[in-house]
Amino acid sequence: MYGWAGQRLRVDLSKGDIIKEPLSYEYRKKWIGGRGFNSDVIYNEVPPEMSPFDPRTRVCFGMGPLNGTAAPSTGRVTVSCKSPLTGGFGDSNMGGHWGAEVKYAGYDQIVVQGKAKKPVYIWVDDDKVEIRDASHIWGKFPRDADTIIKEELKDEDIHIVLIGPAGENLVRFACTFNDVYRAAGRTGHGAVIGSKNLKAIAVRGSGGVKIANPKEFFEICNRLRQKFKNDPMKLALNEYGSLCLINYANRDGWLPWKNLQWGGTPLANNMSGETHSKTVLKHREGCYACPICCGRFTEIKEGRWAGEYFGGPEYEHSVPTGPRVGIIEDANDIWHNARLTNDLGMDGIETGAVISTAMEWYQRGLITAKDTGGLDLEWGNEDVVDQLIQDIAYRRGFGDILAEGASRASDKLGLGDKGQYYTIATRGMALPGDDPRGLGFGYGLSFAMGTRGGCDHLRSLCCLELSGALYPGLNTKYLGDERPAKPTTTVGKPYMVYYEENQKAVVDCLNVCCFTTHWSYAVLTQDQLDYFNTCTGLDFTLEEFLEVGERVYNLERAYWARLMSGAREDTVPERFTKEPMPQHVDYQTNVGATLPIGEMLPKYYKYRDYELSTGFPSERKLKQLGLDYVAEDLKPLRKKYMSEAEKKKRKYYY
Amino acid sequence: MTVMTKQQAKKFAGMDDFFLDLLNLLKDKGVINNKEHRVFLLTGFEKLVEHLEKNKVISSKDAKNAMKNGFTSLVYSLAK
Amino acid sequence: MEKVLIYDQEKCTGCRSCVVGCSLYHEGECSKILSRVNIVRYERTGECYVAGCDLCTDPPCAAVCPTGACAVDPVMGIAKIDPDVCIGCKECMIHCPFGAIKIHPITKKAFKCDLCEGREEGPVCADWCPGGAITWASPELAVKAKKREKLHERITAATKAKEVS
Repeated sequence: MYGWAGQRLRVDLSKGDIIKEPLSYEYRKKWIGGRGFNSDVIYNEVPPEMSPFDPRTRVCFGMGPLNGTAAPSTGRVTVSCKSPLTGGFGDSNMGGHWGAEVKYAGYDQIVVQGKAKKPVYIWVDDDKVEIRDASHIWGKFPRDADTIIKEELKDEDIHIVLIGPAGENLVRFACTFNDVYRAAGRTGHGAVIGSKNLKAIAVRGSGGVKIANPKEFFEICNRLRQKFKNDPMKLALNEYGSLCLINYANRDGWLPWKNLQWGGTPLANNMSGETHSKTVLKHREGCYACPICCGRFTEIKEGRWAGEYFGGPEYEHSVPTGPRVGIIEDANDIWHNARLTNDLGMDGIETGAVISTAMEWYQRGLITAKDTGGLDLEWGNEDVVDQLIQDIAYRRGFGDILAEGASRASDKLGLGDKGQYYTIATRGMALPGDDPRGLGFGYGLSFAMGTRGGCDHLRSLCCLELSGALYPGLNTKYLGDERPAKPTTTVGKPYMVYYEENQKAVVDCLNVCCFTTHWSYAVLTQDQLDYFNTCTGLDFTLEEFLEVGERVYNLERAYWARLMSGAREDTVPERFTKEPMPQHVDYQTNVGATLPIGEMLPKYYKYRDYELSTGFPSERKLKQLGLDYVAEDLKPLRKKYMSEAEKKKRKYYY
Repeated sequence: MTVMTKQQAKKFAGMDDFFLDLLNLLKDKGVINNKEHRVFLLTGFEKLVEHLEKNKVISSKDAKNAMKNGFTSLVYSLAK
Repeated sequence: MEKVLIYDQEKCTGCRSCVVGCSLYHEGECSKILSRVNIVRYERTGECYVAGCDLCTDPPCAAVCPTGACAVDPVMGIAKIDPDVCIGCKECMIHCPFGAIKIHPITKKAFKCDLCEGREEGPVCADWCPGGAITWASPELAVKAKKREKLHERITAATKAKEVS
């Protein structure tokens, strides 16, 4: 078999069963891999009404046919579950080298179900799979657990997926790592894994990935790698990491400041990639087979946090516990906070979002020191942020409420719709560091429509309106128009989001890194098709290839429909529509902007062939995609969604 | 090939988001069939232009201009 | 000035582009065990090192080979292993100070870097390395460039220190 390993590894922690399931040719053609395999398992095996912490729930680690190959950036893994944060469909993606190792061990996907009686870790040594005691590493930071497991298994070269204390404590946005620091951040699967008493999955793979047409495959990989040598995004990302975006975000007003009351700060440069590289950058790092290598390794040299070191941070990881909570003066505070969320195992985005939301509630008098247990939630108060991050991870005091995520916390504190306004979230998932009033209206549209929550920068990753400007003619190539290259216009955005969402879904199925296909556009859709075909030996047409993306997307959308989430919930945080962007620097480009979501949504629905009333995928579309069983599932629900009872419900999470 | 009037072309040129409407019109006029409509919706503008050129709906010169100048050039060449 | 492989460990990002490119180019399969170059990573502290053939002038691998299968090719300037002559005794593997020789999992013969002999663009690892940790260059030019780089760093640091004081 070429590309794929051809089997799924299923581990039942309740029964202690290790099951290997072959993945048929038809199955692999239908879903390709990665997010595709995962979404299919979650849809079929996790009923929407099941609690996210029910032992019967599944958590899936999906790899694709390209993982472990020489195509650009093939270390990625998709982790999927029913999200404890939103209650709906959730997934996340991480880099590193674990995904390649699992392929070399001979598996395309690992599905974990059940719950162990006491803490365990799974050891996958090629075809030998064991469930081992983890009570001696329960409670440890990922870096420490990683060291201990490697000593125990007498191999420094194995790759390990890990959760931190936050996952063990069922913090609703706990995350997962591999290779200690490479995070799959969002939607809280770390807590699902923790609820199963699972600490880690260690892997050693001594095989390889067979290639159908090695010579042609090599030629394509080589051609693409030559292209990357002078690619402008590669050069920026390699030099400065994803923090290369800070000054642009500040200029274009999408850098969250004080819970997105502003789109930046005059001192933004304190945490830019340029500044980082001159002050605390210890090392540049790369995921498997990557020609970009945007990874950072940080060592704080001065101040109260001197001596701390960690892999990272990324833009999205560090901005929320930085400018979003009003911290920018001392960048070392920002690096320290990022190190903390890493070691504790929590989504940096959601952690910063919930703290900044609480700070705005405090600023506006919705909560007082009585609610916070005496903590003074003043903007920029590093002592409080440092304390709160830990309190959230260990569910202490006010942190215990915030560990529920902003939407649930608001309800727990009895803050009503007013409290929800400041959560800056859709379907319970908070916005990352990308204010769409500046980032782009395409992104803004995709924030309403994302199928792993809402406010999600990775479902469309429509960088055609961002880095697209670095590739003249690219917007015309796909969309027929260069005007959408401008971020703050609605022109062409419905089609842009439709195209990019499908395209991104396929990228997540192949499981290559989206930085090679959506920030840098060095790898075009046709290139992906070419390396997919030459690697697997299949002969997909471009439309068959992109159809897989559309299929996966609709399946996820249908999962939300089964939760009674549809057109009424396709909203963006009201701040974006109600509050014009204020000015924070004189060279800012988006002063006064709001997000005209209403102008784009109806057209987007037409592209997606969603029913205008419910927002559910139409029966016609589902049948076209070979999802007849999904159409059957949704049949009785369309009427239910339009009932008066359902219309009355105001849902922030599920 | 004339597929639309100059008036229609002007309307397209003034649209915010045109692609679906253009594909719908081409299907109505029998220039593309149902399957092709689906294919180009998924695969994008360049693939549509290639197809129109291959089937001599537009000339090679028009195709080249379409890729250089975008859809306004395409719709006017379909209104000739 | 013949070219050699030059390793700059500070620049290694541990991405393994070299590893996977090498195995694909030579063996038609993507893996670590079929690669003639290796990457060692210490995840916790973020250290990455490339361990490849160092093109020894007087290689231990050739010196210990009992059959002459491993011998220096004077044109390429590197020891090469003839798999038809190799008996798989593993002495070369044990004696290489850099761990650059492996035993092929299927043929059970030793195999090592041959500088991608015949490839116009030179070795794949150097061609694909995104960080410049492996380069394919003449040693004299590489040393000159390194001297300039290090000197420039020292002068810039000294000037900055002077400005501060």
